Amino acid sequence: MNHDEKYRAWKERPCPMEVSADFSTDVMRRIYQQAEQRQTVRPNWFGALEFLPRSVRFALLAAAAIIGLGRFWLLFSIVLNP
Amino acid sequence: MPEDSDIVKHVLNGDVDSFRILVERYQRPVLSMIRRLIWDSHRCEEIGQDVFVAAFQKLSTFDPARSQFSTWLFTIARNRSINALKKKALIPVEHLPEILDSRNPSDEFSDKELFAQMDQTLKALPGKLQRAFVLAEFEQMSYEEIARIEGTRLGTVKSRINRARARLHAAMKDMEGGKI
Repeated sequence: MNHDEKYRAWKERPCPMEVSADFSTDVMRRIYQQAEQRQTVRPNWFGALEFLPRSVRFALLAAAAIIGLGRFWLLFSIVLNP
Repeated sequence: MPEDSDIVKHVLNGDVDSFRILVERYQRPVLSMIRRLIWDSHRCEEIGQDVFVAAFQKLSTFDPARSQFSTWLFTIARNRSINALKKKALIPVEHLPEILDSRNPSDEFSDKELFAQMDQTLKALPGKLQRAFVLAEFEQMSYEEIARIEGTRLGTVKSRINRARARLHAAMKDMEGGKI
């Protein structure tokens, strides 16, 4: 065999591709499992924030921060009290 | 036989079972492509399953006006193969896939060695050249399809395939001349 024939023989070798009989069943099982998991996932209430305008989101964030920090008012009043 | 795009519509309308038709239609070419790209016959089914599951999850993003379903699916397979290659350590030569040689047994031994070295040369090519070559020469894809899968221009694909061919021819000549 010359060079080109050898090259072609290498390139065109049969490459047996054995696909297991259960391949498609396994794929579909994983798909159904994921679909079930998605249905049982509890709703994420924070996801609703995405639908609010940005300014409202910032306002809510600021309010939450003030409320959160407000819980430490006693500590702040002692530290900051001259 | 229903068209791919019709099946996709059915699946998106809630008929999940129809997706099995697409899996059975494309499992062989997708697995064959993954096997050629990652050189690991043991992991190709696992990656192949991931490809189809990911395709199902992203099905709503498939746009039949932009590409064929097969091209879109092979793009996912290409990306998953690249990720798998990044994660995996180098495979020893003896674990490379065994590929049948049905020609004259007297030539078989020397050719087997030569072919194994050619496989090594192909495996050692830069990923972009290797993928373009595999998709064109082994998977018989058109240059346009490869350009879409690789997200590059047609001219770049042609250039990559030509460079890969040139390197493989040069390597084969070296092997025949006993330089390797």
